[in-house]
Amino acid sequence: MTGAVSRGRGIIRALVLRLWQAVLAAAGASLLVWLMLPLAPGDPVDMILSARRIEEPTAEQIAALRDRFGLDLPFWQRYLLWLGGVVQGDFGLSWRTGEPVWDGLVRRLPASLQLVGLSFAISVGWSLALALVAARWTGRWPDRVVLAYTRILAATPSFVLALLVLQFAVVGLGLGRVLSGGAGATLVLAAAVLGIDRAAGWTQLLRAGLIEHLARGPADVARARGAGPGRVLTVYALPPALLPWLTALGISLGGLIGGAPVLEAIFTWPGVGQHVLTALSVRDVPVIQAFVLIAVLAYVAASLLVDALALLIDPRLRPEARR
Amino acid sequence: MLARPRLAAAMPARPASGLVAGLSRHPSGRWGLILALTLGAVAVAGPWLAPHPPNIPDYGAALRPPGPGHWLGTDATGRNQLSRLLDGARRSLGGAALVAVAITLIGLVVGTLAALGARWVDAVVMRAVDVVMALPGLILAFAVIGLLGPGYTNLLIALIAADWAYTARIARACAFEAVRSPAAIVARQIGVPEWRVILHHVLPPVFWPLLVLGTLGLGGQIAAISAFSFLGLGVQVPHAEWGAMLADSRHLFTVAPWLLLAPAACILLSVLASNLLGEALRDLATPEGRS
Amino acid sequence: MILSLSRRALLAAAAAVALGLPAAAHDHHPPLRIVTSFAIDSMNPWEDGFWMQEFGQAELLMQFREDGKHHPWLLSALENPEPTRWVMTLREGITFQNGKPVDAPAVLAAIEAAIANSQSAKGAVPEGAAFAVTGPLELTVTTPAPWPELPGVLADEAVFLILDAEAVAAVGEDWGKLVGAGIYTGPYAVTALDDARMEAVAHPGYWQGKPALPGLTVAFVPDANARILAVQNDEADIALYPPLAARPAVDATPGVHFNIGALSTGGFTGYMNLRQGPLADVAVRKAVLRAVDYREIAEDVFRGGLAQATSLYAANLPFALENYRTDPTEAAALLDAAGWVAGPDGMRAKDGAPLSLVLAIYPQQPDLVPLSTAVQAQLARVGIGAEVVSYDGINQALMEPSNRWDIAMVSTGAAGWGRVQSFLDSYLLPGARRNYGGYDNAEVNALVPELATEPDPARRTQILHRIQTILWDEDPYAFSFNIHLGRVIVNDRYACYKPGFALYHVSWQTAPCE
Repeated sequence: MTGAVSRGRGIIRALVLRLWQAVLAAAGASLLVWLMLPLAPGDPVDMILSARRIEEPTAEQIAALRDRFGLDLPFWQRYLLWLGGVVQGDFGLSWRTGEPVWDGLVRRLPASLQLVGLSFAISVGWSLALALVAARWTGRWPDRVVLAYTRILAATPSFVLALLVLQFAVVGLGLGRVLSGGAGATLVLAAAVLGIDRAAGWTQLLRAGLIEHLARGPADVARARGAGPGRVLTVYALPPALLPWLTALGISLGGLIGGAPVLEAIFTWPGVGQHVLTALSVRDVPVIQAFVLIAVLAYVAASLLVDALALLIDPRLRPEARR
Repeated sequence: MLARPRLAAAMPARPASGLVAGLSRHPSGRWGLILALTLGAVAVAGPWLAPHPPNIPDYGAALRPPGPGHWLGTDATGRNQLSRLLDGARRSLGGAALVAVAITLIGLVVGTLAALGARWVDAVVMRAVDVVMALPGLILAFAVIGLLGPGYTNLLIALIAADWAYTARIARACAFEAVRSPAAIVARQIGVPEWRVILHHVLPPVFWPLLVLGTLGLGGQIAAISAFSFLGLGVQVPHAEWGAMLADSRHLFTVAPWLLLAPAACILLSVLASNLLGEALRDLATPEGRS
Repeated sequence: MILSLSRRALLAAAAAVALGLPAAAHDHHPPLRIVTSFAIDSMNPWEDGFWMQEFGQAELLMQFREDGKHHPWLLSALENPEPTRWVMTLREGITFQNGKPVDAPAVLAAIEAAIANSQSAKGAVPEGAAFAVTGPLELTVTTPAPWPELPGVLADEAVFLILDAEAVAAVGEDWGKLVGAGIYTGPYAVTALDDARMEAVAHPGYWQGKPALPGLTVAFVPDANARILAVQNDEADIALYPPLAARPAVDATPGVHFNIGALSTGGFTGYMNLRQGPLADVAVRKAVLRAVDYREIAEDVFRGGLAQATSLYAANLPFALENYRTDPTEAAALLDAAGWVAGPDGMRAKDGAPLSLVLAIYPQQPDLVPLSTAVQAQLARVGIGAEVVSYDGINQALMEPSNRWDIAMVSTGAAGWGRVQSFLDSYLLPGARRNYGGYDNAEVNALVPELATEPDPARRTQILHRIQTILWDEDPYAFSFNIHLGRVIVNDRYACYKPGFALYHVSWQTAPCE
């Protein structure tokens, strides 16, 4: 009984510590982005005006903008005001559109999540299959083919792949549409490009883990007892190799919440990534700041979740086990 | 892009001599070395090899297919593509190398200082590293460019800012062990000056893992520079860069596919070279990983 | 039957019901599909309303046409009985899309609301101007000093859109409610607007006649390549803002056409930096103007995608001179006489200082890349060296004294909607917001304010001719590298579509080719 209670406390203590680190990281990140702001060239008013394509502003227009965005306040005051708003879920107004930043991001989030989610599933499935094939026939031709394939794919920029798919699959073969508007066929194509591109590195990672565990004791014992190569691979090598691999995948998934700007641009996918690209090109600072904060929180949350899962699955990682 | 390779923190120190020999014996290292040396030589010698000036248009010769005189064809303003690829190599490859060197130096200095300095210095530096590492690299790079504005210099700054923290952490871990290694302790006890201890017993064991890390990261930097330039956030006109060349010519694919395929091939080969070389260096550093 | 109705048709029907209009039978043509680069951010008429004018939702009192003149549009007449008084007479029988009549009080309300809410409207109206209703369909404008630019102001899409001010005031700042409210007078009424597209349906009670199409959609696609592919893949009929660089690819692709249209009112304009560097020397400035090969830029570099500059102003404007000429010999002679002598490599120098210029461009205009490289080569022919520097946020960068530049290349409308005053005021006068190069010419400083209140057309033309002459022969500063032309990519169905003049992309008669 007491053991279970202290184990529960240990997990909670570890999670609280990680949560605290996460909050610190998010606060640090927001401060970092604000500290970079004075390095940005140009008067913010000019940046707002050019973001709105106002070429010939009047004096009143400039004064109104200064007032509306609080640009006359000292820097630290603006940061505190912003932070206070963020805590209440208010990320300020976009310099380009004057719309609340949060609305613009949230509206595009579902499209990005669809793309990232589907591409993640494709990546996991495809790299799992390839790594199993490679590890089953280590050193033989299937392994060599997989290795050569992953090396070339890992070196191919995803935007090159995407351009070729758009030209040949969409325009050439009539699959999907150029102006996706969030339509299904384009989602599958874009997710496939993104997923297959990313699967290359993940295949290499899992293959290395599988080969490592195939050479370890449990696999040797199983082989000595007459287990076939397929059984040794899936029962004795795959489970231990899977955990670190999934951990790495989970963390990188957190980094993808911001969408895939390049692919979203090429496939006209109406996600967060494209929204942020527009913000970048006109330097819409409030949108960039909100995006960075949300992306960091998502990334930290993903790492936290992965840690928590690992703690539950693998008892060696618990604090009391380290003592 | 900006992947953080997993790396055993403690790696044996190895003299740089025999490095080339080791690489040329390694199956993928050999190819990586050949590719990397060729690409590096081409990038350095580019201006002398280029048959035409890279930025001067020749409207009469627009969109020539590959053939004599223009071995890789010409673009929409009649500029020789081979010359532009050679010129672009300096920005794509040179920029990536610059970023890798800067990251390694920053990591080396920050990591070593943290390991050597007082406890509070270590704590402050490593907390800062933690914060930066909690930011996904790509997002941080976007934030820097978003605030400073697009441009080649800003892009390089963004990539350095996005990637230095991991290197610093590895450097600190290695230096931390090296400072407390028996050899370093003995040297201090027999009165060797501190700077010589650092030079001979701390820096070398830190250097090797950073070299592997830098080489493995190079591919990511090349891909990042071309991706950001493709989006118009990096190298600005009229300068050539492989990603920017791809972006400029994408609507010409149906009439001039060579304008898309040649820069794509250049990026692919460069990233491949960096990956092969990095893998080989990692294998050489960890003998048990040589399978 | 119901099941086979498309979403668009449903929307159209719903909008027609909402607007209280009978559902029109449009079985002749499918709706028009346009792809454009810029998103319409909101239904806010004061900030984003000008887009509505371009796509056939909103209309203006006057229209600026290809002949370079202003013609009555919602007005039947605009008269200037005395220099400080204008009388506007509205056409009879015009209604807003929501059915309310467009009479003098309604137009006055629209004008007053614009002045109260829109900065560009407020800035366009001179101090002391008074608008008053003087008849059921008549408004009178009185001003303390003559206001010769009024016809241009009434034709400018950013100033007075004619809208139902009462309906606009009713929504407060909740602009989304203006969708389907029929606040404008154009042939197509907005029925939907989101991040990706705007949809509009025909307004059957349109005053000129029944619109030729059942409706239209405008999709916002920032990526130029995607816009072209959308037309190629038959997902759009018309793609706006195509890059000129795409022309060879489009020409080689069956089923799509790169159509070039009429002269615009602006082009890529050069501004010379007189504060520092070699352009402080007037001889170098004159030599630069004569070294630029305007014909080569238009015909060789852009293959007819841009028009050749023959003066600061587009040739179709009534006050445009035809004073530009390319003369490398004269340029060389000017430089020789001023002491800039050619070295062994042909490049010039004076007292050991090389004659080298920095051409400033900016990334938002990709066409500046081929243009600046061409100008670089042209200047080299007379021994002037040049390098190209790209500045992000060019307007700020040029005003920043620490940035080095000698010739700024900026896309400018020198006479947008036929209005010349705002360009002269803000680019040429000392201390003006866009006087990048520190230009200060005593005669120009006197002529520009005189022009602002000069009602006599003959004297106005005389002033504008004189300014163009000063800028070429005496004290060069601002000059045109080219004049823009309208351009679009279209599919076979719209192969005969000509790019709209002055951004009027859609009229009530726009339809597929017969």
